[in-house]
Amino acid sequence: MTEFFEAIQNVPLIRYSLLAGIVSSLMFGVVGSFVVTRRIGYIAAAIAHSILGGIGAAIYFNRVHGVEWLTPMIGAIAAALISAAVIGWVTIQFKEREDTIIGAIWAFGMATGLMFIYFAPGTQTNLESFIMGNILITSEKDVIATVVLGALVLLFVALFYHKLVAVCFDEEFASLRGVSARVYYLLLLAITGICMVLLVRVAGIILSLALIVLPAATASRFAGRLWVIMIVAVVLSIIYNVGGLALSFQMSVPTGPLIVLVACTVYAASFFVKRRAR
Amino acid sequence: MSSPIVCCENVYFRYGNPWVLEDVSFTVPAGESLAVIGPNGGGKSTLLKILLGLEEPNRGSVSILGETPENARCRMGYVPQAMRFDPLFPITALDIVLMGRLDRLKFGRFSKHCHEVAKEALNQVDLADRANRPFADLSGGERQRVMIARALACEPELLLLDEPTANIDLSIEEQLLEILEKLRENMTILLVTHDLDLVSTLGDSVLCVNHRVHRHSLPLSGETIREIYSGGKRIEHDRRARHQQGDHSACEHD
Repeated sequence: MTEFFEAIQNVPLIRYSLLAGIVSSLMFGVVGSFVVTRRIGYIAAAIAHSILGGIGAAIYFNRVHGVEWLTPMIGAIAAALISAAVIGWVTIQFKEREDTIIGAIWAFGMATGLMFIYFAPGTQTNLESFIMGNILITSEKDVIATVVLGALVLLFVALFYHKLVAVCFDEEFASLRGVSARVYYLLLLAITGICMVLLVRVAGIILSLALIVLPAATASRFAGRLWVIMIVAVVLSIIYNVGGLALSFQMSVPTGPLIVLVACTVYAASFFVKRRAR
Repeated sequence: MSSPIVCCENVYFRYGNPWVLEDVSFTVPAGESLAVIGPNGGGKSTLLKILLGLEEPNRGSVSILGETPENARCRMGYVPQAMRFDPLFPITALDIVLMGRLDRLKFGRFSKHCHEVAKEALNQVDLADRANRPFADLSGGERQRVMIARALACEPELLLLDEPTANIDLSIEEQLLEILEKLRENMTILLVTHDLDLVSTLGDSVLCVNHRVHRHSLPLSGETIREIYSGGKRIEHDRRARHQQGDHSACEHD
């Protein structure tokens, strides 16, 4: 472990990764609790996959048309928000089967991304880092972006916690009490989208779902109130992200898969521990 | 005479082609309890949705407490069926009851006053000691009473209940009846139900909804009941009779 602490002191990249990991863990725990209790895990997964579309488009326009400001991060956030809006809007408006829309968005995002990357000139893009994730590509700019996004999401949840809970529990009653349930549902999908972008950085598209769902799912086995689940999920997220970073550095194995394996093991172990008293 | 609490005039409604409700007119005077009965698919739930302002009638007019349903929402308390909810949702009884005060919350936390009102509402349904229990730990009857408390926390002038005794044990049902009888003394109640016991104990009058509406006086004769539920539909009354004879094949137990 001493090597890791030395690296924190000497390598800025590790410091950034650590800071970004802690800030995003706060978001993952809080938003993940909503994702688990509202049962929208598969929407989160569809958004994660659609992010590749945004990344691909950003790379393409950057290289072909020289759009400098369009970084993969911005492309990813745009794609996540668009997918969240489309999934939310279609399910509300057309009463279409949710799983069908989820599947369509999921594949459409991946396909667009692969197409853009194929047509983008220049050096071969390293798809693996998007799909498998690599937390060690964090720059100072990204850390700032993460902190700002994290602050916005947490502030939103803190201010409108009761309305979000009410909309998740009973949309109809919430709207009868003057809460615009649809708006809050769409906002919930939007913050889920932002979380997925940050998670894709850590664990990649395929593994990101585990990291938003598992901490909250583990916590919900023992806690009876949403805010308690959030606190436990945040703590678990920090342990996974920071611990995973340290461990993978020490053992020089890929961070994302290691974190996911640890999270899955803890979740599985939680089934052998007695649930809270009834 | 004061103006009626609910006033429906020539209301027509349909989702697709056939009318779900046709030429529905009725009023509920202040302080009255109206029981709404009728076969499944007869339009009871739709009528409730229209009264709550969740659906707009195609024709006709509805006024609640002298306002449009949408504007009167905050003066109504609505009790949905408790079984509709995700039993795993991590929330306590008190948190659910506090939802009745959402219209007074802009952001942040509920005020002290809101907490007091919510606790008093739980007290009214004899659940004061269950306030901090998770929803998942409550029995079916307790969950239904939490839903009533949530509606009471709205401090409503009109209370709307959707089949409050569905999926509930007979012994618990008596408890529920007692609570509703007490509430009936100081508010106007509109109650959708399949349960003819509930109708006879609580209803001042009965509205039968089967696309069109008919008003009946109480007590209902066997003839009327057969008329209402014609078409061989299984009715609550039938289940109850069999239950009392020890035949539980038609009962739904948890």
